[in-house]
Amino acid sequence: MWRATIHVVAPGFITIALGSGLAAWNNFLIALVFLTSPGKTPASISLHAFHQGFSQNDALIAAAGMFMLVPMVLLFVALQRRFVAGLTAGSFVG
Amino acid sequence: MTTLAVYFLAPMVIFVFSALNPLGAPHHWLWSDFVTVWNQADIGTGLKNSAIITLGTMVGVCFIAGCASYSMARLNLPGANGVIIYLIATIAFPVQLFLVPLFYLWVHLHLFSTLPGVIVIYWAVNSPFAALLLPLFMVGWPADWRSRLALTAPARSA
Repeated sequence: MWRATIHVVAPGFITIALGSGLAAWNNFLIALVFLTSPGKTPASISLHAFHQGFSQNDALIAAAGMFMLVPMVLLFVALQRRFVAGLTAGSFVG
Repeated sequence: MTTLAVYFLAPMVIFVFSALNPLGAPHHWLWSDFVTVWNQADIGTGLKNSAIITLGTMVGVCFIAGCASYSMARLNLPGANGVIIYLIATIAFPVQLFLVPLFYLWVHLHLFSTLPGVIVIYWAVNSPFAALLLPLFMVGWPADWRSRLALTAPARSA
């Protein structure tokens, strides 16, 4: 019974987790306003500060951006596979 | 499908190329840039904080939206339509509108410049849409699903 329930709702939960997680990871404005102490800044603000310091060196800025890009791409690929599997396997036998 | 994949992957490939070697395709791979960036931009702390914020947001939004959408989709509570209209109205307002009062409130509550404070803001920003989306996965599910499942699979449920 629980397995059937989870199969039906899991794609929905994965979708909202992915959407809100991506929004939280990429958010700039709220992070910039509400996280000002040096040790508390998220990756988006670190990247912004680095970008302002090294605005001539494109390779360094792109390398810094890679650090922010890669975890989300990996998470998206991992969850996308389960999302599609949940959609195809989750049909209710009624 | 392939065209679409190329369309979305091309900017990322250009990004990787320019990270390894600026101006065109890389002749020799310059991995030293990544070490330099890791040491100078304090990326480790940034990634750790981002991971905490993202995980906290994901778990919290799933909990809040799960409770809200279950009660809206399955419990037939009075006033559910009013709640849906309230959620749509919440999405319609931009975050910038609340920024200044929220700043003063967060300073007073000692949540300013703390990770939990930001996670709570992200819950509030992301939950309304999630609470509107998630009921769609629950309403298609028949109300008497327990008895139906017991009829179709008696051996498993017994």
